[in-house]
Amino acid sequence: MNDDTAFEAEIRAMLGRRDPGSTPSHLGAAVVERIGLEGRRSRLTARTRPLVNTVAGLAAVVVVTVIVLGRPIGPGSSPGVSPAPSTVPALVAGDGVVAAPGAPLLQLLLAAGVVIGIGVLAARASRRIVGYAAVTAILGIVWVGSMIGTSDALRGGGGGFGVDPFMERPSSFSDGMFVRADGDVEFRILFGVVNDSRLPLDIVGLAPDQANLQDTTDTPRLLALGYLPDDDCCLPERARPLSRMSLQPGDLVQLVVLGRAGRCATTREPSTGAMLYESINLVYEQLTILHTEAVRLTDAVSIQNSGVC
Amino acid sequence: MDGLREAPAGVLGLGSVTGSEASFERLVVDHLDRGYRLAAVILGDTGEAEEAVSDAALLAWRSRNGLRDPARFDAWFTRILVNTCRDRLRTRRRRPIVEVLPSAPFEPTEPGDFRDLVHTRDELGRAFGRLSADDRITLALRFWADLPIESIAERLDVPAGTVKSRLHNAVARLRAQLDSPEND
Repeated sequence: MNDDTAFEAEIRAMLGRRDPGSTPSHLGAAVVERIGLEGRRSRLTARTRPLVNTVAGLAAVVVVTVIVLGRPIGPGSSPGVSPAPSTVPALVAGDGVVAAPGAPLLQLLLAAGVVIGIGVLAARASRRIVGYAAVTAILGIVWVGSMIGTSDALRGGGGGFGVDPFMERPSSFSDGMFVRADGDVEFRILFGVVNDSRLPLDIVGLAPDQANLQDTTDTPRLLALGYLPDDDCCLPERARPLSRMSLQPGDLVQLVVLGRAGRCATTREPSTGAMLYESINLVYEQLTILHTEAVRLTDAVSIQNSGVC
Repeated sequence: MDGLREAPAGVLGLGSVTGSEASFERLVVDHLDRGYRLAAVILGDTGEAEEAVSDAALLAWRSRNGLRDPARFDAWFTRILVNTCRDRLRTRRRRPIVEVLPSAPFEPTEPGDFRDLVHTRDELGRAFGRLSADDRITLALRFWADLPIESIAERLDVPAGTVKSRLHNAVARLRAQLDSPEND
């Protein structure tokens, strides 16, 4: 017997000593039980999989449809579309003022359900490509969700900016655009808003925290939100009530806020100070979720206050 | 050697594998004994061998639709089992455990001094325990299961040339382990 053969014989003997010789009596029953449990689970999964697939598919279709079409169900208008002049309604208090948006629980539940459904499908899929597709889909949903969760989709600026009636800045102030108002008169703020996000959105209206906030008529308050079509650019008195307006990414719209200056408003100098609006709180909807954003104005709109009213 | 043999597929009702869960279950159970012993040889731990063969049976059950040729059940199941053992050995490297060898009657393979042979036997077992997972699996399939190179290649899903190379290197490494200072 040569050295290699002898060594192989030793290996065989060593491996033979590692062989326990017989299987424990309980092993077969334990494996059968485990397989049986798995079988029952897989049969349950097989029954529920079509339902999960259908729900996930429908949810995906809804998400894609919302993204592609960029507008939720409901009446709306687009910037640049103007109705016939004879039908132009005047902007009055209450136009374009909406309720405060609540938490998007339904959408969060739907998104969580879709993600879980896709995850379950991926975990049970036997083909690797299905797993890759599922991971891509989940990342896509998270990516879309990360964008709609931000409140900076709208950007103030672009187009015209001004107030009506306007007055020169008093000498005691270094900045701001001033409203010429003595007493509780109407004023309008014209400003441009751009959809600065990568998804379409709908401007829904003026947030209630700025509109009709005060019970008193002593101080300024905002009353209504309107818009200007392209052909009425820069004439705030021609604003129409805003109900809902779709903005594609990069689109600009001219908005007009109607307000009242309050009984303490004055044009006389020296005043005791000024009330000012640095931003306008707008409610917008993106992928069916309502957001409120304080859209910063190009310059603070100020109203001098007499302090005696 | 009472090791792993080619399964007599034709007498085990393999033709009904894809059609009946019960026959597949019976087929798995029929292979448990050989699977458990192979896992024990590779892993060196009977408790872990039980877990490995149980895991492999479950994996086989889950992927039973991937078995296209029922006549190859034995090779297919052994491949799943050795992959399970490989995963366990790799996990064990990250979380070292003490390998307990089963007690077995000592049968000297060469005439010589009794104490020297006992010493060599223990050294060889410890050296085997220090080999990589692939080396252990290759040696077990060749020298415990007595499988020919082609059958090992089928079970490991590698070319026959690779098996020869692995076998040669595994034996060489086993020798090297015996000669290493750790055994002194």
